[in-house]
Amino acid sequence: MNSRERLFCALNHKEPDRIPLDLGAGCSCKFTGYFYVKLLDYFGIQEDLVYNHIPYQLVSASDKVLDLLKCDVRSATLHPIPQSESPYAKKWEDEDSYYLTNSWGAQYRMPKQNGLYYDLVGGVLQDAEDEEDDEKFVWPVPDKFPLADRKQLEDYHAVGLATTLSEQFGNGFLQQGPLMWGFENWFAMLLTEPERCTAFMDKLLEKKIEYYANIFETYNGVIDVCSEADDFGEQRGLFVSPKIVRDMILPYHKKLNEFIKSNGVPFMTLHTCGSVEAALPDIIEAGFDCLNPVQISAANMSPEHLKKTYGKDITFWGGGINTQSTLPNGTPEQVREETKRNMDIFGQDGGFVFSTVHNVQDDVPIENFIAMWETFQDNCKY
Amino acid sequence: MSKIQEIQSAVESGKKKIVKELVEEALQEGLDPVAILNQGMIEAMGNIGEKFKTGEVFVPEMLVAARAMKAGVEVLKPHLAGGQHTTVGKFIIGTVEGDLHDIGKNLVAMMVEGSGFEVIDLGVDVSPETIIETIKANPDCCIVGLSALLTTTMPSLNRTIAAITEAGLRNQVKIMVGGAPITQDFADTIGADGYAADAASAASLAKEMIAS
Repeated sequence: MNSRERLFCALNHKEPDRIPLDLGAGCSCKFTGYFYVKLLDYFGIQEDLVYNHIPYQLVSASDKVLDLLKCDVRSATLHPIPQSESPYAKKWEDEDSYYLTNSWGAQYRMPKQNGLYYDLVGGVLQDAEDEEDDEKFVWPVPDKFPLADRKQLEDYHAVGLATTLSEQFGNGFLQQGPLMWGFENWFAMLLTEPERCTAFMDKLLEKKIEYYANIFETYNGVIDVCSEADDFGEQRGLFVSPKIVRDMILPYHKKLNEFIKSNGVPFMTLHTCGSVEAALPDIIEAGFDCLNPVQISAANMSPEHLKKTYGKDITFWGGGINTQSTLPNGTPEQVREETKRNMDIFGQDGGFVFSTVHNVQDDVPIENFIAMWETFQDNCKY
Repeated sequence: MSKIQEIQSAVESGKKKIVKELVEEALQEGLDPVAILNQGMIEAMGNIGEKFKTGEVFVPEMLVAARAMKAGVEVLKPHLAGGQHTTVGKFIIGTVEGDLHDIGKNLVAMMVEGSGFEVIDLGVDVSPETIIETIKANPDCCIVGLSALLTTTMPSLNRTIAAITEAGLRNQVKIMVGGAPITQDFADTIGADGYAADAASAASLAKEMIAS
């Protein structure tokens, strides 16, 4: 069984020869630059770092490293064709910090001293008072992609590897708003001025479809899994009521999923952090095949409960080890125990792709990462 | 329904404009501004907090209620001056050094303010020195709330508490901590006086702390 057959088998809720492994490819299954350097040192490899997400400081792991880790999934490295410049995009620095504003006008800052990420500090519509102000926003133009890049994914398929695309246009339907109006304004608007929110999300859907249409011009037929990220949850529950998720947000995802699947992508993943159990039936109904990152430390998200209640209807892509406590702060022995326990529960009857709960951060000791990986290798066979 | 009950209900459902109108009417009718604040608004925020804790309402409902209360307080403010001191205590809050996340911290500040505290919000990436200076400048401050969202900035909480102790100010204030990766165990380990898992619980904890 090759990697691609293994992944498809698991996603079709059957047990393959072993549990598929994704480290470094899917949404929030990646490595930060600092951690990746530890991994390169461990393997004695020298290579230049390729950053694929500047705010989170994530890197594209090389095929050499992913081969050594025996990973089943590879990600496309997107090379967008430069288009008309956004009036917002710029980078600058002052004495204390680095700054960047992306093409959505979202402003980020990373402190020069001890800074590990660029964090959101402002949005372009944070002072907008009504729809007239909102309409002044200059939308970014979805990129086109060089046809030559298609070969990379064809080559992966030729050697039996599975492919995923986790770079999306903007954020999800619930979470792009906070990057523009600010968290508090957007979440209040959902209740007080829902028509402003839906006007924006209508346009976002239109643009996302344009983006995927561009993707499929280059990558038609060579992407196995696409993912959209839209965080619905916090540690204790959903940010918004299940009704808002069901009636205002997920209908957009459903339409987008239908478009993507009608273009030959067999599986869709929803990356949604936090406690999202209350929305899972609706997430499944919207046409998502996989849930990521499966934040098992959040309320009502225990592996036992999730697998028993939803395991037949959705694949858990993540949930392998708690990245809020065990992986960074546990002992290697605790890492081994938890990894084995989660694999035993999630792995039954397929429907599981092993990965960490979220990207592997700088503070993860290499011993813990290796303890997790070895435990996976020792126990992954069905 | 009495006028104060009407205000309470309008705050709870986040009706900003109506709250403003009702507070104006209540003042014209000669109702006690302190009663309007305590029974009309602070109590409403307490109810919203309870509903948030039990999962009956979510972040948007909490936000609009807090905004409605703020609008009402603006109308009330000129009438509260002149000896009618209404703050239950002073609360310093900030996200620790190296961490720029403020969504959770802002919700806590909002709920703590909604429960009657005067809140001094120092923002994000706050150095231990800034917190120490602020405590010194506000000797009547009773609680310091510190937030960290990242596993990588959790040690910064520890350093901040150690610096407050070293500055000889530890007995002057209670310290509560919070943030996604924080647990009661971690709070105990670093010598915090309390931990709260969400904004409404933080407001309840703050009230307990000044009562004890």
